[in-house]
Amino acid sequence: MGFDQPGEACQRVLVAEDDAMFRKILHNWLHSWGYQVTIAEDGAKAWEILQGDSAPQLPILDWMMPEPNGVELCRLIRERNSSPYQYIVLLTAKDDK
Amino acid sequence: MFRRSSLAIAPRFLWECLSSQTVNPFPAPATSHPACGFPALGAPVCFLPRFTKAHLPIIALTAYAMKGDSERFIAAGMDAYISKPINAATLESAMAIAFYGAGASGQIKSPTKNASESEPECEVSWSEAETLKKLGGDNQLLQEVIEIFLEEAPKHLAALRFGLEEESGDAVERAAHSLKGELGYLSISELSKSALELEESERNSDLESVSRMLPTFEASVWRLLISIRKSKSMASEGQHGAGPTGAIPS
Repeated sequence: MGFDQPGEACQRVLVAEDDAMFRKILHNWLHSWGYQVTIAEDGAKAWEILQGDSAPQLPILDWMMPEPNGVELCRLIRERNSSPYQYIVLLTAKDDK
Repeated sequence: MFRRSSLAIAPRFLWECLSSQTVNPFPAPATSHPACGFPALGAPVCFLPRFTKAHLPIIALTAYAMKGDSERFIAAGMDAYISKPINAATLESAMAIAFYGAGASGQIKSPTKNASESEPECEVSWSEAETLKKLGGDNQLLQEVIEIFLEEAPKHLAALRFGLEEESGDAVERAAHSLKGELGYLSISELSKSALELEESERNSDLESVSRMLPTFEASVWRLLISIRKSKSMASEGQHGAGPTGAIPS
């Protein structure tokens, strides 16, 4: 798959996913596209990483993972009212919703 | 994680374990023949129903795959037997037979399993080529993903069973959800759909349906795992398996 290298606006990506298979797939793809990937296996770890120094600029959050789940984590991030605006990608297998 | 294991070095200790209220009902004992002495095994096997409400699966270990042994194992009440030297995949498959009635092949024999005893199982097919396409043709990633699936799926199944036994809806839903996603990604749509049904049943607080569907689902997933392992093993030995698209043998 041919993708351009990511721009400076977004180089660091957080993948918060409790499923090992999807963690592996996402990590491989994002890494091969030139992103710096940080992995969290649950919501609590993801929240800890997002509050740290040099936090990833784009969180990709699994909806259904150990608490806080992706939706709850999204609310926590929005409550911070941080600037610049942080884009969030929600990942879900709940394709019937 | 969710299973207990104990070790007995002589028939007397084995029998004490099996008779103990603290470990009863005891999951699949793997008993060695003739180290234990095959005739002596008849005693625990015959008396076990007095101590357990449900069927107790038993796996025989044998260094001799002699003609006629199968009949002797059946007569003694064994569910499966494996020949020494054993390897991890063989033992795992035998455990699958013992616990879930999953079909298998190769060294593992399931003497008591026949068509009349088994529940109807859904047809399972797996398209390796389709999964490879989803992964952008990255064959190395495909192999790593399959390895993860082989490692994780039994954990999800155990979590599903544990959640049901503990009446933990969250645990059932989470495990079924994980299996639905993984099976779906591997293009095993029939089983992914079954996992979705399990997930939805739990969401509707219908654990009775989960309980009814689970044995067939477990058996089908184990058949799939055994088949994938076998396919990988054959591929690593330079043989040709079922090809990029293969039906999972019953």
